[in-house]
Parts: sequence; C-alpha cells; structure tokens
Amino acid sequence: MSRTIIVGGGPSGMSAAVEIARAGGDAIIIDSNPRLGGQYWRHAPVAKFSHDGERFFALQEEINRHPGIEVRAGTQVWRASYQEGVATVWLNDGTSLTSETLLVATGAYDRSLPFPGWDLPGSMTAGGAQAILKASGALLGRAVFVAGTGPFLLPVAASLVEAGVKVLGVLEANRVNGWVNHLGAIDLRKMKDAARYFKILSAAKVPIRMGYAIIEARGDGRIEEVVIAKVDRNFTVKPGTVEVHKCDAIATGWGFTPDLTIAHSLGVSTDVHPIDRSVVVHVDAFQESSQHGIFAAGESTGVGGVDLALTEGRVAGIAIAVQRGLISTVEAKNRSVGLASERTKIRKFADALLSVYKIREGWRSWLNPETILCRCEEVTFKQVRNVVHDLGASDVRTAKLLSRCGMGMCQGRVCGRMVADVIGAEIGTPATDDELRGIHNRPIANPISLQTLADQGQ
Amino acid sequence: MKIYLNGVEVEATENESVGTFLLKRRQQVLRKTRFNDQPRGMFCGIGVCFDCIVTIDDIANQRACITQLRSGMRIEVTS
Amino acid sequence: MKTADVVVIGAGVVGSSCALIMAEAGLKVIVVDRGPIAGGTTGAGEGNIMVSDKEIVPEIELAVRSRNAWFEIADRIGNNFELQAKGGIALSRTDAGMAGLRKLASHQNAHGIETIEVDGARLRELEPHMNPDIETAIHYPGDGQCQPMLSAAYFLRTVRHLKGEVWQRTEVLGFSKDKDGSITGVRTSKEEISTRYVVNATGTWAGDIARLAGSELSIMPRRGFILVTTPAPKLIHHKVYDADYVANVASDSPELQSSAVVEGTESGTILIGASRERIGFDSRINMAALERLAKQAISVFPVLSKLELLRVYRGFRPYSPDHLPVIGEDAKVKGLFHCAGHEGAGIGTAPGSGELLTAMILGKPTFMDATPFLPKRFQGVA
Repeated sequence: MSRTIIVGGGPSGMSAAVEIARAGGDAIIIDSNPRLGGQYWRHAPVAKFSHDGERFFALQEEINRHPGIEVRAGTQVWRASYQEGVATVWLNDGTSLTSETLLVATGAYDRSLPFPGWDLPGSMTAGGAQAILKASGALLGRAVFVAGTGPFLLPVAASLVEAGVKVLGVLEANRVNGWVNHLGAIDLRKMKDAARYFKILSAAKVPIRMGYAIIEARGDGRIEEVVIAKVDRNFTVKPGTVEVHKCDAIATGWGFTPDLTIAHSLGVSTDVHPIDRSVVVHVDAFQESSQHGIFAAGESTGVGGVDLALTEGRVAGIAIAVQRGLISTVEAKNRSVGLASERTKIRKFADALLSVYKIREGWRSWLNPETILCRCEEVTFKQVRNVVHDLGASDVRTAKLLSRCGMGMCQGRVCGRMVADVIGAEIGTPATDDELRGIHNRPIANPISLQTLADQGQ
Repeated sequence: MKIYLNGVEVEATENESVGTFLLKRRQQVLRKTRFNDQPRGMFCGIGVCFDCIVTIDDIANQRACITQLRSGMRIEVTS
Repeated sequence: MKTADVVVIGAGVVGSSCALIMAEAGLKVIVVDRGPIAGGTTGAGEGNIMVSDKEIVPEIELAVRSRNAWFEIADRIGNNFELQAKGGIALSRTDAGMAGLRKLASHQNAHGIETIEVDGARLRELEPHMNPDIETAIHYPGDGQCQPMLSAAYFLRTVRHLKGEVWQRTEVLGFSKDKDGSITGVRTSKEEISTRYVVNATGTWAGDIARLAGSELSIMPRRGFILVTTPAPKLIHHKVYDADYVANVASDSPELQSSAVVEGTESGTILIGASRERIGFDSRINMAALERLAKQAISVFPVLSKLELLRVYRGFRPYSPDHLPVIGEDAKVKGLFHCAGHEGAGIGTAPGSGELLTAMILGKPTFMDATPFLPKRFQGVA
C-alpha cells in the first residue's frame, strides 16, 4: 500500500501527519511553500513566532522525528484525479504520486472585494501583507491602511506595527455589536488574542474605525492616497463621510475563501456554506469526503481558523490510520477523546464570526464603470454589465466566458466569487449553488511547464 | 550569491522569494499588464493571484511571491 | 401563442448563424435553447474558420463560401468577435507526409482554395519561432479564426435588433403538426410558438430533437480537447498544424494518435489542439494525450518549452456517420430542417450552412448543390 498523500502542510496537514505517524503509518506532505506551517505559521527559515510558536515546533519536531513522514516543500500539485478508489496527484517537478488515502488540507486565501484602484501596486491582501512579513520581514509600505472585515485585520495590523510600519488606521466595515447575538459562542482564547492586538494597536495610537471602508485608491503608478468613507449596515457609503488620506500601501481582507481546486478535481461532494455561501468539502464525522479514502480537514471544510484545522487534522489522521488498518476502531476512539466536541465548539464560534463579519451587498456601490473586476484579464465592471445587458448572458458561466472575467492566470481564484455576485445582481438572480461550485473547477490546478509535461511520458 | 536583475548582476541572499527580495529593493512595480499597460505588483503574496508574475530564467509568467531565489537566477521585471 | 416564421433550436454558432441570415432575409425568427447562449460545443472550440483541412469537394465548397461569408458578416454587423484572416500553415517533416500535403493542396487549389508551398526562408518570415528543421510547408492564406462564443452572442444580438427573439433556458417539449404531418408549431417550456419551419441546430443533441419530431437522425458526440497556455507576447501568427503523427509510444492505440494544431489568440494565450477532422482523435482527457500534444507542439515551436499549460478544455463535437454535416429538410417531417453534425468544422462552416438553409426555406437557389448534405441520405429515403 502506498503512503497517504497530504496536500497542504499547514496546521491541518501537519496534525494529520502526526496522527498517522503515531499510528505507525507513513505519509507524504506536499506544499507549495518552502517550509511547513501554511499561511498561519508562515515563517522565515529560522522560525520565530511572536506567539503560538510552541504548537508549530511540537508538530514539526514530531514530523521530523518520524521517518515515515516525508515533506516535499516548494512543490505544487498541478493536477489531481480519483479513479476506482485511487487518488493520483501530479507535481510540478514532473513526478506523480498515487494512494488509496489522501487528505485535502489546502487551506484558504483572502477573499477580496474590488474598488477603484485596488489593482495599483501597493494594494495587497491582508493575508499577503502578513505573509511577506512573516516569511522574510518584507514590508508592503511605510504608511498603510488595513481595511476590510473580520478579526484577521487585527493581527495583521498589530504585526505591521511591531515591524515598524506606520498603520494609519484599521477600518472594519462591519459593526462589531453584531456579537450580541452570538455571545454563547465566544471563544475565550480568541478573546485573549484580540486583547493583545488591541493593546499593541492602542499603544501605537492606531485608530480602529468601525463601519468604515476603503472605497478607492489613487496614485500615479502606485498608491499615493486612499478614499475612505463611513458605510451603513449594508456597506453602502454614507453621504458626506468621505475622507482622503495620504498613504503608500493598503492591506485589505474580507474573510477567506477555502481553496477547493484539488478537492474539486478529486470529485468530492461539496456544500455551499449557509452563512457566507463559500463552497466547502462535505465531510462526515471522520473528515472523510463522499469519495472513499479522500479526507478533508481545515479551511477546505469551512473557514474556521487554526484551532479547528488542528482538531480536524487530528480526526482525519486517526480515521486514515483506521482505514489503513494501522489501529483498531477502539484504539481510534481512545485517541479521539474530546476531539468531536472540541470541533463542534470551535465550529460554532467560527460560524458566529462568519455571521458577524459577513460581506454585505452594498460594496457594489463602490464600483464605477471602469473599475477592474478581473485583475488578470483587466475586465471592467462596465464590460461585465455589457455582456449581461447587451449580449444577453443570463448565467455566471456565459457572462464569464463572454467577458473573459475569471479566464486569466489565477483561473478566477481572486475574482470568481465576487464576479458571480456581480453577475447575479445584474441578471437579477443570485448565483446558484452549482454556479458557485463551478468557480472551483480548475482541472489544471497550477500552470505546468509544457516541457515538463512533454517529458512525463519518457 | 549573485543573481541577475534585468541583466544586471545583483547581490542576493538565499531563503528569500523573488517577490520579497524585489520589494525590499523598493521595486513595488513588477510588470505592466498586457492589455492596458498598467503597473502591477504583489497582491496576494501567496501564489494565488498571479499578479506578481515576472520572467525568470526565460520562463514567462512566474509568480515572484512563491519563487525562491537561486544563485545565478535571471529575473526580468518591467517597471 | 407566439408566432414566428422560423424557430431555430440551438443558440450555438450554427443556430445563431442560421438565425442571423434568416432575420436579415426578413424572416421573423425565434431562437430557443434549453441552456444559455453558446453553452454547448461552441463554448469549447478554438474558433476555427478553416479551408485547409477540407478534402471532399462539397465540404470544400461549403468551407470556401462560409469563410467569405464570415468576413461579409463582420462587415455588416461589425467585427466584435475577433475575426481575423490569420492564415494556416500545414507541415510535415517526412517526404511521404509532404507528398500527401502537396497532393491535397493541388486538389484544394483546383476547387478554389488558395495554397502556396513555402520554403524554409519564407516559413521563417511567416513564423520566426518555428523549428529550423522544418524546411517546407503549405501556406493557406484563407484560414481564419474567430472567438466563437462572442460570435454567437453578437449574431444573436443582431437577431434581436431585427425583431427576432432569443429564448434561453427554454426546453422544446414537442411539435405540433397538421394532418399531413407538416410542422405547425413548437411546444416549449415557456409557451407554444406557431411556425411552419423549425431549424434543428442542436449539435450533439440533434438526434433527440429529430426523435421528438417523430423522425430520426444519427448525430454522435466525439470528445475533443484543447490545451491553453499562459499568455505570451505574440509568438505564433498562423494556425499551424503538423500532419505527422507522433507515434513513438508503442502502447498507444490508434485513436490516441494526434496531430497538433498550434495557434495564438488575441488574448495572448496559445491554443494547442488536435482538431483536424481526418485525424482520428477520440479519447478522454488523459495524460498520454496531454504529453503527446505538448511534445508535438514543442517540436514545431521550441519556444513553447518556455511556456506553461494554463487550462484544458473539452468539447463534444457532433458528427454524422459519413462525417459530413446534415443540412436540409427532414425526409419524414415536413418543415423540420436540420443543421447539425459539423464535427470540428462547425464554427467555420456555420454561415454557409445558414445560407443554404435560408435559401431552402425561401425556395431560392442555393449557392452550391446541397444534395450531399441532405438528411435523407441517412433516413432510408431515396
């Protein structure tokens, strides 16, 4: 039997690998990053964490100690398939792997919303700003705004402050009093983290403005100033609240999109999340998908953060060990004590966050006709409107194919969901669940060199 | 180690991505778009968006953010 | 109840060409499709407008007229669909292969297709990045390309401007006939349309529509796929195809033999397909086929080794038992006209097909003898 394939070396992939190793099994972790840790524990070659490093080092140490776990970092999966109970992944180094068990631990990336100027150099996602800082201490700018929605804006702003960046403001488009409805779900550990971020930000006198958004970025060839405004509960700009501020960069984030590319290629059933309509892998209590032997953990089953990813990773790792006959179901139960209830509890908290920090429809009012929606193919809002109203496109796929929105190199990873929402609004019918699923259909998951491809058969 | 940036020999250190290396050199603009000739730089920073694409060792469209520097690497940037 | 002169079923390039030409001829047209505009085979093609791959005389005549009709349409309604006369280049690196290409070229030439044999120096002018080991080829200035989905969408836009209608997401449920069995109406999921003429332009589903009308038609789907590279500056200027098989892998079945067609697009991507009709290419997406096409494309354009594969797309090409399109009135059901089975040539030959059908419906002379295309050849009627 070939070893388990783990696609993604973040928290869920690492914790699953450790459980598999503890059960005496073997696995190979594939990750496009040069080092383990995923986005959450992205780090420089000599790992240093401002907090929460202990859990990473413990997992890494255990992975390194087990000869049965191989880590293939800096490697991308460019294609995946599942046939007759066997999963195959093709890697950009020209090799391929097959196995009866595979874990999808592909994580998530920032969800972005467009606004005039969001394509200017100096405009980054919140996760991107964080990633370059964690990986190499690079700074996106010297005087920046952090904006969008979600609790993630706080650690990003705090780490920028700690790195010496002048953070001119944290703009949270939602109003956090939405929490009143979710008090039962509050996670104290998370509250402690938040208190720490607030402390850093207040010491640096960073204004945190609730109900504000960046509605435009301007500059000659790079960001020089931003237009910010107060928005109502629907994210529509409140008249008379517009301000213009000088800055040299911005980091915006609107929550996260699970990366379902590989999962989709493997043909697993997916759900559309009831709160934010993101597409997630449908898994059972053991994190197994609809395809026998294909498991999923972490953000690919629904955005939930590091603790949920670690828990789901453990559940998946133990279940894989059972499926491979390494441990009995009784032994699995012993190893799983508390995991299921922990998972339920964190999931409840994660869903509460999704409800509070939801993207509201009014963001579309920030667009002007010339605003780029698809960064890759430089398709504007006007062009998308045109294919709907002049050419008669009446569904998401047709509007995309006629306008080229989402047809570029990122294959709709950045604009897919947001364009689906724009098209749905223009047509007058929201995108269907299947249309949202279709966004993740990328049979070629990452570009692969034609030469590498040509050499495969040899 | 040495790398070549637009043909010019430049000193670089290992364990750094092309993208962060260039950003630290204040190279915020990495390319011009192919339809409207607009400047673009790093956006997602994690290999998702393909905005930071540059030519590396004659291969076009390589993501600067996830490509690690190697000795002798030739990077072509348009700004 | 709605009334139309003609109901066209199918909003792909073939259906929208028929609808456009009929609407321009003054007919009131309603286009009905169970899906969206260009949702079937049209959305999965390269946009080939080729004369160079046609071998049989009627096919050549249809392709030559269609090719010219494409440019006439662009003059009439505006070229919003990336139509360009890029020209094609057919090559072979074997003596036998070149002999075959020359023979075909002289036959095509005799039937109105411009063919020019070019030497290495001229080839390098036409395609500077072509492999220097290719010393001769046939240049077909008449080959063209369009963006097929945009073409269908703009044709239908014109149809709407000419008082026609386009009903998307509308299923055809059945047909009404008079006591002689002639079509009098189309029942749809939206409402019934009173009409005497129906055009069945449903591609791979044409057999289903024929059955629904009480007739039969054998149109089968054949799977084809195209590789799309990451965008690059203009490297390849023509539609370039290699007539040589890559037959170096012993275990391959004949169906897997492929012949790469390489071309650039307006958006900068390069398409690598295997769309030549006479090359039997019939397979699911599989690694062997991907590898093969990549290898063959690089052998023609070594510069492609510096590019990456971005996407692969698949389509089902409709074909008839004799691989010629089916254009004309059904032998059993009066008023039902088929326009389907164009296989890999549907984009290119759509306008000519539309002209033939329009002339047939209006009882006017056709630009060519359409007998070889008539459905009765498969319908057991002499």
